[in-house]
Amino acid sequence: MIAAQFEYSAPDTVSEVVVLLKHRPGARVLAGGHDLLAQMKQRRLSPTLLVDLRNLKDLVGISPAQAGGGVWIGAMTSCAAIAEDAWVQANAGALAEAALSMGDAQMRNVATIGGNLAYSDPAADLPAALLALDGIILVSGPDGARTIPITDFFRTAHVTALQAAEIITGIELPAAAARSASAYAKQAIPSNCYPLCGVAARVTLAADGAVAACRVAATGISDHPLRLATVEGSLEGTIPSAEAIAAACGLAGQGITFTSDLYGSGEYRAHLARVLARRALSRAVAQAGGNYTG
Amino acid sequence: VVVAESRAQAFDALQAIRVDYEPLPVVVDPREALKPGAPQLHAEVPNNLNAYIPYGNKEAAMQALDEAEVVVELTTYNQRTINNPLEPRAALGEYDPATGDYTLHATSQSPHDHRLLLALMILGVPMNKIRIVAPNIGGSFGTKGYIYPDMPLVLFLAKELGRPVKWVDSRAGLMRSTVQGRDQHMAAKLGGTRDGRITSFTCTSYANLGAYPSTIGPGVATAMVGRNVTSVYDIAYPFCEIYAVFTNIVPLGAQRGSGRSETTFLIERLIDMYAQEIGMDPAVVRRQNLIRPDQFPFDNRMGWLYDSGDYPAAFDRALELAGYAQFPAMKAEARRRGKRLGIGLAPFVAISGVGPSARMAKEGMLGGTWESASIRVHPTGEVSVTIGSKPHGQSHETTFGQIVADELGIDLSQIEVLHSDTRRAPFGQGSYGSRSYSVGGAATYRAARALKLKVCQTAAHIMKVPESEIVYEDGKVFPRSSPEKAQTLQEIALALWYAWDIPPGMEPSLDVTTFFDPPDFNFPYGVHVAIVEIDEETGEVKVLRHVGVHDPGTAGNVLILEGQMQGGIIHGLGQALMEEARYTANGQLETPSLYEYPLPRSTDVPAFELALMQTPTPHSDLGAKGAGELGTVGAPAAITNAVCNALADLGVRHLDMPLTPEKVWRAMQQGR
Repeated sequence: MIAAQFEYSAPDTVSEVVVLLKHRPGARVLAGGHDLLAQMKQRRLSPTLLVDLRNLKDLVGISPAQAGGGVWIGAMTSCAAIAEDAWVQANAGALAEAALSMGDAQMRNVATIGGNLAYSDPAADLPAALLALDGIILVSGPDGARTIPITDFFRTAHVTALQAAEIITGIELPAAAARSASAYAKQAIPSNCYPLCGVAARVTLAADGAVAACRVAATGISDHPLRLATVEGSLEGTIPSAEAIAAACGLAGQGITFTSDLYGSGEYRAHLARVLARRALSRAVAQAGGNYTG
Repeated sequence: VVVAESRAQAFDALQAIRVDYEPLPVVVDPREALKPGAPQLHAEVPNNLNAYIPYGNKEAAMQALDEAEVVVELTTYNQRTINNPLEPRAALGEYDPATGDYTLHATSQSPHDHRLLLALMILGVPMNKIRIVAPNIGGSFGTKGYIYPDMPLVLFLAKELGRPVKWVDSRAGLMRSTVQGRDQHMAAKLGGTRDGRITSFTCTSYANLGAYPSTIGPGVATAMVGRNVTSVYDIAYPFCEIYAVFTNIVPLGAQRGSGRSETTFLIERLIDMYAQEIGMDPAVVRRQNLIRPDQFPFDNRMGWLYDSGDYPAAFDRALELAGYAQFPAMKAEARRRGKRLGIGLAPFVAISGVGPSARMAKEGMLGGTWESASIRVHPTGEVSVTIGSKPHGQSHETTFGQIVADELGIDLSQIEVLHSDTRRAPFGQGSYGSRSYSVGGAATYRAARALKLKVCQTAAHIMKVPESEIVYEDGKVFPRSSPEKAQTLQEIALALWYAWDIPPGMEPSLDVTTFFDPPDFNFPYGVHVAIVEIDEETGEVKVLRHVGVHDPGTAGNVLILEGQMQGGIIHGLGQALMEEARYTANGQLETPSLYEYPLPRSTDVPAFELALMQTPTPHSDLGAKGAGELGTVGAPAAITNAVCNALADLGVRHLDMPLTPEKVWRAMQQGR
């Protein structure tokens, strides 16, 4: 099909974007457009105004964060750029892997991290990685700029903590601790490449080889991406042997209502969450310098 | 119908229309549709039964089953699939009020046939007032051989509105309105001896035709299944019955390998079960039941006379290429690494080259199925070849050009191959059922031979030597004793153009048209071997290797042939592992776009290991058999057999396609 008629604007500054959004309730933000344009072509969405962020060049790029040794990723940075970035690959492996696993090359060249988060598909890849990496979301709106911890961001499918007329400007990732690594494991739906289940894990090892800190987050399995806190809790403070990891991952899924749909049952997703959590954790532990290499 | 100035305007108008539907009862399963009290789709078709056709001798087959030492049974659903050519359908209609001429530009596999149907049965206008132009179309896989409502509609509207009217489908439209494939609910029994001799085979299948019959009749869903169930095997007592039933879903049509793929799947699954039951190697069971070369022509007892081949040689070649003998060691070694491997075999035969016209009508496939070619040598030397068949991705320009280039001894660059315009090409039928090269190619070959004969006769007259003295070589003719007197094809064409001095009684001009109706079908065959690896934790299936030995008779262009085999195997892999058109109980398509409906990607595709055998068919002058459907016929059976082989030690007996990770995972759970 073809989209209904709409107006188009491509402002040069964030504040102009915010003003437009505030005064035009029927407006939508256009970033990479992979989700929005498809919906518009099917006339599921018919915004009266598209506010294109393409001229906000300041929102493109990956650079050191203002403080703390972490990194800032502009909201308009493409998934391809994230997957290829040396810092991300070395310090946020789960994010590089998640970005690389999305769609196909053409799609990754255009899709943006900000758009991916704002659209908040319950099976988006990047949120799992950002949850595991303790990302912080930077937003701007009519009341100025603020930050949202990623754990507070996803509410339910396509519903986030963004307020009216707010847009994402960037994401901050904290510096990676010593003996820390992360990984992303995914089983893709063959038609659309979204994860049937995707699990990101980050592990920081203490001097004695025990798990000092651990993050495990899953996507595709329920109405929004989420942390698997029981798995994390079970592993922290233990030596991450194959047995310990397997035992911890056996707890994945506690308290979660798993999605059942055309692509797979909740039971299978729950199984995949356990298997993929183990695979992601095992790789993270191995890369962090742990003994386990299974 | 909305007609607008632009696409956007058309969609705006569509959105403005509100339709109130009054839902009627719906039936989506053909077995349910046959039951008393089921919703009736068409007043003229009691019980929704479009056709019931038995093949073979039921009584004899039942008795043989009763007396068999071993009987294995399988009930399986060969799932409905959605054809996804690159280009969806399109139609553009024009009408000239001054002449009354209609022109339809359309994505048609059979422009001549569609022209006849439009004239005779739909629009009621003289056939010479309809011209169809079907340019290079982006693939079909069998979907574009049918008349669709848009074809007459754009012509009608063009006349009504006094200007051209265009309709172009979208992918979403294709998923919902272009014919779909397969969809056979099959129940079969195989009877045999304890030492592996198959004696009987019976099958009852319910074909889901969807809501409307196809414009070529029920043959694809019936004869192509019923007559093919014995496949490459010599089975004394076969029987198959097909119920072709209307239901409230998208109409069924041809899909690359129709009928042959479903039946290959059925018998190959049953042979693996039979081999397991009697404790024999499935390769040995297959080998000893294959039709032998000395049995051709072979009456398969279901109405088909197989023409030629060496099935055991192809089988042995495939096993050798796949390293079948070494597989148990490979499997055990992989097992130690935590990998679960399986191997699957699937020999097959795939009737092609439709066909003898009178015979086709009896098979429930309505339409003449001869083919034509016309070769014209211009007095300036260029050669125009017009053919009734048309490509939708098969490279007719190359292969048909090569037939003429080889026969006339001229360079391919001198030849243009024209097709797909009913005003320019001679009457023809189209491309479907793997027929173009073996049937249309034979017509082209015959035209080239006739043309060459005319050249030699003319040269003999001009050069004043007996015709037996004339030599034709590399596009030139000369008397055997005086090569220096050679004249080129162009010079002879010019002589025939002026016709000042040509043999008495000969018609002027170097221009020949032939028609060819094959004496019988042809029967290409092949053997596939798939090796798969299964992720024990997630159930994901990866096809590691796919070996294919194919015998499409005498090969034409081997590069194009190899491309067909690869594409066909990928197509079959799609059905085996992922594709399925799913409908809700009230007939709504749950997989209405490529977002929901998967197709194989490059990363799903294994290494191909292909080999070619060439046993000529006596039913085409070229010795060529069909080729385009072979890959799709063997691959689903080979891959499914491989997956079931990998899971056999867990007690998994059979899995229906598609072999999704969850399905395989569940089977492993239940098996354990």
